[in-house]
Amino acid sequence: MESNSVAQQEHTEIVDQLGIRSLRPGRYFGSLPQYYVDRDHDKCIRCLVCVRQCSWDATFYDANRNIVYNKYENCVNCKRCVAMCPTQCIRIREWTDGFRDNDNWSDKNIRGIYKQADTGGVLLTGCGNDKEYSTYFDKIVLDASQVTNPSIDPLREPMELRSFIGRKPEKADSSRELSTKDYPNIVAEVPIIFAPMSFGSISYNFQEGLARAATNMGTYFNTGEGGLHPNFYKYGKRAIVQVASGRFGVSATYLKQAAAVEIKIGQGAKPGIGGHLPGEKVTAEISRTRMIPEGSDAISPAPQHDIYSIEDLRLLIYAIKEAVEYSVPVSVKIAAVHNVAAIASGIIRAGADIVVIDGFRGGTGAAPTIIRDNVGIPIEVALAQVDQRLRDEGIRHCGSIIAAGGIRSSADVVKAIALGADAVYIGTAALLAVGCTLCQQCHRGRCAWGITTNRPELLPRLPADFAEERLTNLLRGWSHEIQEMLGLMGLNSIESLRGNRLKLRGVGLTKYELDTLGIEQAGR
Amino acid sequence: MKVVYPVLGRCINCHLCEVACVISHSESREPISAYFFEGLRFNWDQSQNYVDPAQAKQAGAPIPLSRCKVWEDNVSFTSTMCRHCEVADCVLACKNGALYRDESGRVLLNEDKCVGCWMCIMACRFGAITRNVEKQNVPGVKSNGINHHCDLCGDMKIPACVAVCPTRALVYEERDYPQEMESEITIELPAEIA
Amino acid sequence: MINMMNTERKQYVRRDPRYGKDISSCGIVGFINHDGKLTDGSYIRRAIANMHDRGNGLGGGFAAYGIYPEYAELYALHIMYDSKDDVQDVEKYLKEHLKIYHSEDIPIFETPKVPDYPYFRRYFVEPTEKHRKFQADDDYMVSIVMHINVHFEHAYIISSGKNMGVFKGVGFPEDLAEFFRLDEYEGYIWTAHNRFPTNTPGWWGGAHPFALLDWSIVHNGEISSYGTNRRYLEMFGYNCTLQTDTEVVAYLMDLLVRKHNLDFQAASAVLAPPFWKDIDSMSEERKNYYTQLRMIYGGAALNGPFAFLMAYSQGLIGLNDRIKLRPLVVAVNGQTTYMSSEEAAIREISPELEQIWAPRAGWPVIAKLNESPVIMSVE
Repeated sequence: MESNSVAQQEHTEIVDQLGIRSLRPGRYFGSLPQYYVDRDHDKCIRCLVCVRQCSWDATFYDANRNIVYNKYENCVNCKRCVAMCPTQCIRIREWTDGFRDNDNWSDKNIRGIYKQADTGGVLLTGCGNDKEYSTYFDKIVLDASQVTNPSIDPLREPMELRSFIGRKPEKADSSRELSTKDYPNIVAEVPIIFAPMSFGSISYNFQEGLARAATNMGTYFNTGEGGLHPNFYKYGKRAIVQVASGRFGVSATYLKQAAAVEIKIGQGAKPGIGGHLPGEKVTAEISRTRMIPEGSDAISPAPQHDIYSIEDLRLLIYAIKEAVEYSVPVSVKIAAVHNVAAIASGIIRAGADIVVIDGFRGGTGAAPTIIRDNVGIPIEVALAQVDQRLRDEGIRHCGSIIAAGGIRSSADVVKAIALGADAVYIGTAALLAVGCTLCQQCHRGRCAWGITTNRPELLPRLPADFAEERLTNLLRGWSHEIQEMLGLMGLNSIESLRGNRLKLRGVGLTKYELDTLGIEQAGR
Repeated sequence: MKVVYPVLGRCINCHLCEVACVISHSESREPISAYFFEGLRFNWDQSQNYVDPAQAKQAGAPIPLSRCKVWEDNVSFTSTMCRHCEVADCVLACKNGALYRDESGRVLLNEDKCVGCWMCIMACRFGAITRNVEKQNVPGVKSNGINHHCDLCGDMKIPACVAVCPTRALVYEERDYPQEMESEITIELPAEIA
Repeated sequence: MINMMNTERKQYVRRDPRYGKDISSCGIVGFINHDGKLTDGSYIRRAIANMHDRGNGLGGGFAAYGIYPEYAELYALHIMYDSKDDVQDVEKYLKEHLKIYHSEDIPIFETPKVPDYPYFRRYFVEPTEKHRKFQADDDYMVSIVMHINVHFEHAYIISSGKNMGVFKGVGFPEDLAEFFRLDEYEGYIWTAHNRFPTNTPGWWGGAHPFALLDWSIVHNGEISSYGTNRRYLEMFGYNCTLQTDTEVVAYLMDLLVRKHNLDFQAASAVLAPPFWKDIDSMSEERKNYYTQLRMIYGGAALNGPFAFLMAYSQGLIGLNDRIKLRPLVVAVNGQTTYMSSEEAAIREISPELEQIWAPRAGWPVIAKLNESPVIMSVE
C-alpha cells in the first residue's frame, strides 16, 4: 500500500512536470480546479509581477510563447495577483463549468470527497465557519432617539468608550477608601480587543502591528497560545498573554509583564480539539518564542491536561494569580457550546476575572473543516445566555464578558455590547484590515499577503508599520461609528449600552429565538 | 539633495518599480503602449541572464529597459538605482563629459556625447548604470549603446518607483552623505569640479 | 367606583415586563422647608398648575412628607387597586406578613375632571416581631412591596414610606390635587409632577412620583440607559414592574444610599458620573475615587435627558443629566428651597426670591432638613 502510494506520487510528479493536466493516478481529481484565472493577454505587459507574487505555484511565465499562464488547480483565489497587476488584466472566477445543479450536494461537499479520496486525510482549512447558518446580528436592529429624548452629536459632546474589563467589587466603600485596589482591571479606551492570534500562525510583522495599533488606540492585543517574542515584551502592558494546553512560551516573566493572562480552554472554530504547528514552520524565531526546539512539531493537546474539571481550573487560575502576585486579571476563554451559560458561571465562580466566549464563527489558523463548520453555537445566543445567567446568579460584577467570533462591523460591536458583552475580540476583521481576502489557506503557511506566514520571502509583504496604520485606522473608524450609534440612541457613555437590550429589536426571528436573545420583536 | 534609497527588508520582489520606471519614461505614460510600442529593450531576461539585445528583439519579447533594478537572492530583495552621489565617480570617470551634474544636483546624461566606453559602469559603486542599446553615437561600433541611469523622473514630484512601491520599500529623501563612502576612495578633485 | 376600562388598559400596557418601557416628558416642582414647618397642599397645587402646558392631562401626582404625624413611626402603604378582586387577597397577605395598626380608604373628592379612577386604600403597618428577627425593617418592607407589585395583578403599592404619601393618577395635576383633597394635608416637603406621556396611554400606576420606602422621585426626561439600569437592579432583587423609567431612579437611590451607604455626592456621581476627561485631570486621590465609582457602578449610571427631584424624609435633591438636556432651576427664599422645571412655577408661590440659579449639569443640589439652605455640589 505504502509503496503503491509512493509510486503514485512519483507518477503524479512526472505528469505534473510534463504539464499534463488530465485525470491521473494519485491526484485523480486534481484536474477539477475551483477557480479560473481569466487573463487578458492583450493587456498583459509581461512584467511578471503576478508570477513573482503568486506563492501557491499557480502562475508561470513561458518565455518561448512569451505568455503568462496558470495552473488553475493550484489557484486559491487569494487575489494577490489581481491586486498587484499594473494593468488590471487578471480576473479570477469560479470555474465556470461547475457541477450539475444540486441543492443537496454542494460543490464544497463534492470537492471535499474528491480530495479525501485522493489523500485519505482530514480536510483542513483556515478562517471561520463559512456555512449558511443564520447570523443573528443581521436580524437585530438598533433603536434611535426621536423627539422625546435628543440624540447626541459625538462631534460636539463627549462620547465615552472607556471600558473596565475584569472583576469589580459589588459596592464601593462608603468611607471613600479605594475599594477597587484588589481588583485589577484592564482599561480599554475602545471596547475592541484584538483576538488571540499566535506568532507562528500569524507573521512576526502582523503581531507587531497588532501590538502597536493596540498601543495607539489604548486597547489590547492577545498573544494567542504561541508566547510573546522577546522583542515584543516592550508591548507587554498592551498584551493579554495566553496560557494554552501546549503551554508554549509560558514563563514567570511572560506572565508578569502582561496586562492580563488568559487561560485558553477552547476556540470557537474548533471547540474541543487542540492544535498542531508543523515542525517545518517552527523557525528559529518561533522556537525562541515558543520555547521549543527548532523544527519540532508544536502540538497543543485537546484538553489542558491539568484541567479535567472546574476545580482543576480554579487551581490553575490561582496558580497564575500567585505567579503574577494578583496584579493582573485572569481570563478564561471558552468556545460557545450548548451549556455555555452554566460553564461561564462556573468559571467566574472558580475565580476568573474575565470570561471570553468564542462563537462558532470564530476564525482559526488551522482546523479540520468538518469541525469548524459543524461544532459550537452562535456567539449572539451564547452571549445573551451567559450575561443573563450571571445576572440571575447576581455575579455579573464578578467578571467581565468578552464576546469573540463573528464580529464583522462596529454595528456588531454595539449589538454584542447591548446583549451584554463588556468588550469584543476581533480577529478576522483585523486580518481583513491588513489585506486578507479570506481565501482560507492560513494553515498552509504560504499566505501570499504575508499575514499568516513566516517565510522570509513573504514576510516583507506585510510590514509592521502598514499593519499598525491600517489596524489603527480600523479601530478609529469603528470607534467613531460606535460613538455615532451611541449618540443616536441618546447615550453618551458605553456603560449605558452594556446589557441594554431595550435598544435592540429582532426582525424575522421566532418568539423562541427572541426570548433566547432576550430581545423584543421590532415594532413592539 | 533628495534621492531614492531602498529600505532594507521591505522589498517584496514584485518589480513594480521597474514597471513604473518604464512607464514614466515612456511618451504615452500608459503601461501597454509603454511596454509594447515604445519600450527600450533591456539586456537581461527574466531569469537574470544576459541576453544579446539583438536576439531579444528578434524573439519579440518586450523586455523593457528600466533604470532601476531589483536584485534578488533567495530570501531578500533590494531595488537599486543611481544615488546621484555627491562625489560622483561616474562623472569623474566620464572621459568626454557626457555625464554632468545639473543645478539641482542630479547626475544626468547628455545623450549625444556618450560613446559607450563604459567607464561609468566600471566606476559606479552601486551597479546602478546599465546600457541602453537602442541608441548608438559611434557609427562604427555596433550595440554598445549609451549610458542609462536614473534621472529621478525629471519633472515629477516623486520618482515613479517610489510612488508605486506597495510596501514603501523605496524612500525619496535627503540624507547626510555617509562618511565611509567618501573614505573608501580618495580622489583629489580638480578645483573646477569641487 | 371601579372602571373596567382601566383593567383592560392595564393589560394592554402591561407588556412582557422584561421589555416594557414608558417614556415621558414633564414638568416638575418641589420645595422643602428647612425648619420642618408644614404647609398645606394648596401651594404645590398652584405651582404645578402654573406649568399646565408641560403636561397633557394623562398624568400628575404629588408626594408629601410629614402628612401623617399621628402614625409617624409606621410605614404608610398607599395601595392602588384597579380591580376590587384583589383587595381581599392583598389584605390577607398583608395581615400574614405585617402588623396593621390602621387602614382606611384614601379620602377623595369626586369631580367630573377625574372621571375614571381606581380604588385607593392606605395601611399603617410595621413588620411583625417574628419577621424583625430575620431582616432589617426596611429590607423586609422592600421585599413586601416587590412581592405585591409583582404577584398581584390588580394591586400596586404606590408609596411605602414613613410619615409620607404619594397621590397620583391620570388627569391634570391641579385636578388630581382637588380629587385627593390635598389642601387638607400639611407637609414640610412637597413635590409635584405634570406628565406628558408620549407612547403609552395614561395609566394611574405609571404616573409620578415613584416611591419606595422614604424615597420619592419626580422626573422629567427619558432614561436612555433604562435597559441597563433595570437589569443592573434586577441583580440586587429590584423588579421594575411599573414600566416607567423613573422607577429605576427610586430603586437606584435606595440601593446606593440605603444599602451601600454612599453619601449623596457619591450617589449623584454614580447617577450622573463626571466625564472621563474631567476625572483624568483631577488630583490623584479624587481621580481614583471617581474612577472606582464609575468602574463599580457603570450599570447604575443614568444616561439620557433628565432632571429629577428626589425627596426623602430628611431632604430634597435635584439632579440634572450630564449634559443638561432638561431644565432645572433652584431658588431659595428664607428657610425654603424651591426646585422646578420653570422659574414661573416658583414665582407663583413665592414671588420674592433671595437667590435663583440653574444648577450645573450633573451637579446635585442637596437641600437638607434642619440645615440652612446651603448649595452643595460635587466638590
